[in-house]
Amino acid sequence: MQARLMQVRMRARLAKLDMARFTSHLDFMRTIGRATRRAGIPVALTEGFHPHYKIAFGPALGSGIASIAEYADFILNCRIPGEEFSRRMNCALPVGFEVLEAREVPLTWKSISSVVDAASYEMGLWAPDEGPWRVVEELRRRVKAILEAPSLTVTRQTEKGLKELDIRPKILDLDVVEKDGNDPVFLSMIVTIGDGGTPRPEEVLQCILSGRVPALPGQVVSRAESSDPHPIAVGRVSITRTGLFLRKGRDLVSPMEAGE
Amino acid sequence: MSWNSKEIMRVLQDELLPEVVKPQRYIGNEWGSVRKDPSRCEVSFLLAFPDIYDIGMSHLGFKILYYILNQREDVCAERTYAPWHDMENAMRQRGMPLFSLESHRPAREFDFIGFTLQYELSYPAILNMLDLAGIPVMAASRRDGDPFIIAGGPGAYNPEPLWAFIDFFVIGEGEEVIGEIVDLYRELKKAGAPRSSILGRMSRIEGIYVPSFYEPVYGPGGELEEVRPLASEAPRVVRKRVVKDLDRAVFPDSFVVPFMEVVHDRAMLEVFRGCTRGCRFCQAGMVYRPVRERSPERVKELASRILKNTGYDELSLSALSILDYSCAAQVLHDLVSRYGPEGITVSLPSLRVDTFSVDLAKEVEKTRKTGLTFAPEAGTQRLRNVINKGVREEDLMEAVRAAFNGGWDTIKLYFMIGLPTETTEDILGIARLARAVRDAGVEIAGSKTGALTRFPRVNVSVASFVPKAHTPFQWCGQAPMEELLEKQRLLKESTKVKGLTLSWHDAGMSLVEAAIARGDRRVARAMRRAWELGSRLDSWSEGFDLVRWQRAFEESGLSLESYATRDIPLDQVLPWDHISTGVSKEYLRAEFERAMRGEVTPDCRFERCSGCDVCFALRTSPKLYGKGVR
Repeated sequence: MQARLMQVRMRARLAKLDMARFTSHLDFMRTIGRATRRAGIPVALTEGFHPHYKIAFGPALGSGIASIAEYADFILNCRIPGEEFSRRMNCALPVGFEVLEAREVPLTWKSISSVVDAASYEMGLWAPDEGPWRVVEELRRRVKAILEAPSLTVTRQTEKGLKELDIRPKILDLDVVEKDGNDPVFLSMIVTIGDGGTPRPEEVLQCILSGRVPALPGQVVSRAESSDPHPIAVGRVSITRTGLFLRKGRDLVSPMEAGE
Repeated sequence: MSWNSKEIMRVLQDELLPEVVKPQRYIGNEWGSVRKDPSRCEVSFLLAFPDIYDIGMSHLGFKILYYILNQREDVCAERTYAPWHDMENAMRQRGMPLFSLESHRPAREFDFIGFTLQYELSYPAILNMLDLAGIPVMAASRRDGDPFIIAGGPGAYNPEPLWAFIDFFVIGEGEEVIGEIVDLYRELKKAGAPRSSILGRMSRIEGIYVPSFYEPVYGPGGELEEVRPLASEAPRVVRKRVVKDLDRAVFPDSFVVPFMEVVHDRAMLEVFRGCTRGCRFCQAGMVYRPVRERSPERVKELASRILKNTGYDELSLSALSILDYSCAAQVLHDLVSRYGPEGITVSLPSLRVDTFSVDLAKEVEKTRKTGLTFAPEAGTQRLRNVINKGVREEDLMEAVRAAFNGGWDTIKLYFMIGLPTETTEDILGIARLARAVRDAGVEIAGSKTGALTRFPRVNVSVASFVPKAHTPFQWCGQAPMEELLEKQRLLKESTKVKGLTLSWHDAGMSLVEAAIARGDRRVARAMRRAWELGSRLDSWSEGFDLVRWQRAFEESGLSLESYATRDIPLDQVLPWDHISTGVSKEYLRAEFERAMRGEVTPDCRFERCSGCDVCFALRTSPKLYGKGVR
């Protein structure tokens, strides 16, 4: 029987980029687990008949979405500095995966998935011909319409059939960020997550691009406009999860900073 | 549009991958994958698996070759797999060619594309992958600058059904010959040698079969009289390559570790090669002779390096019959006590039918008693003697009792139907045996001292006998499909009892497998036709269509049924007679005759030499490190 060791909890923020974004959440967990073994990180084992590594991950990310904000907790059998953890892991991770930061946090903190309740995304939109982008004003109008509307209903395919869901209350922020030249236009978005009905970035994007946005209050919607909402054609789209947060009043706090 | 690495990667990410199931199959970049600058390598080699990633990633042969080739500075070896239907459609629609997973460049830019022949029904995928790569499907249509399409693996022991599509076959074990092929090619490429003279020089390497240098001669009745060499440099008989000392052979201490879950997703360590149990239906047991073991020290050393380099939490010891390893007990004990505390499990792919196996399984699977598998193969002692499966009913009953008593509640039994000389009694014997195993479980579950907590389950898996080249049963026709279906029905009716479930292989798939396995050059026409009619991933039931194969054979003027089910006279020339495994045809014939007399032939590891001739023919010998347990 192993003597009880002093255990510590290492929390890490990881990235999943480029081709690696097409791996699933399960793939991600397996990859990180194997990397700890290759890196010789002293991860603790659970007790009992089926010992496995004590690693706990944050909320799942959809396949195809990149991220610079995947969090995981590692229970270690001995203390190592966060920088060393990062360095060793990064030598053992495949292309596209990276530990961006790591630090020891109190063992008493709750699990990432139980405390994180907001996520931010950035969506890059390229024009169909990758040329200059001329629809920024229209995008701004639609974003404004969503933010001022009381509800935004999307339809989802579930196991029990189609389900309608109002995602508007869960959108905390939405903005258009324009950069110069041929760069893509970026939409940034912050949504609440957890307790079911988390808005998916591609759903929100779909609402904006298809023009299926609520009319601004007081605006007279002409017949033509309502039946023909002018879809915006885009070329490439890239979606990146840029943050996970705990909501503390009106503030958003990083899981590296708080855990209760 | 001319595709390059950058363009392929862009279109994959922006257009194709978001739309397909399991995009992880196509992304590459896995841990352990080797990326080199192609412009700095003199020879490029694409290892191509004619099935999807999920299956291909478990293939040990490619892991070995990938490692050997990439250790050389002058060579870059990459991988490709057959795309699943959705991806193929997307690629064809977009005009994207087959690409490699490492550099994502078009397959046709490689010097060599090497296919492995593991399963006959995967052959149409080869044609499809070539077409998808924009490479002429017919070898005769390829020109200077096209890659050399080569193939190896167990299927290459009867290369003839693929002769028209493959530039040359590699017969036997690839570890050593692969380097010779690359060396020769590098030299000839530098000298600017044309395709034909490269093939000519290749044919002089031992183990290389260049099918275009041979022609079949048929008699007036269409029977094969001879496959004769056309070129002076081509040997009359091509003999398999064999690694004489496995302990000193290269074995990878690092693998590509997939992101997604694939078949056999664990670290794999080959403990020995070959098997001389001598089951008369088994091609692997004939073509991989002689038995060559790795030393316990080397196995343990490799295990340590592989686990460290891959990060896997499961190690599988692999061999045709792992518990025949003469040092099995010692090595398993050492590995389990060394890695168990780290949360790493050791797994055994197959068990022998004896209590020794169950005792070892107890040690290995202390906690995870998921199920044990035994393969008695036939239902009566008479038939087990015919097939030379040296298993007695009391061995099986003792083994399963030990397993049930040890706490395993699920037992899987493998049987075969349609074996030569089989009667209804043998089929009923399978049912009887399966019920006896189940009853033993029920009895133990009912006893107060038993370790069973659940009602025992016995899963019976029934395959159809498929005659394979270079086996004592190569002359035996497969049972006609109606007969196989009738036998399946009979078996189903006689095993209706709680706790017993039956599953079987599709009889139609076995029929096509047999026709290709014993096919001659004419079958290549049917193969091409089947592909034209839509054959892609025929190893998957959703991709398989028996009617398509029947039509393909018919339109090629051939009978699918005849290739599969006819008995071949013992004195007839066989389409694979010019390929030698080292095991003599006289031995196979003698074994066939012993089978018909119901005589068993002992394993040469434990009793006298059975005279298969392989040691003499290949100037090698069995290599064992311990005494083993019979």
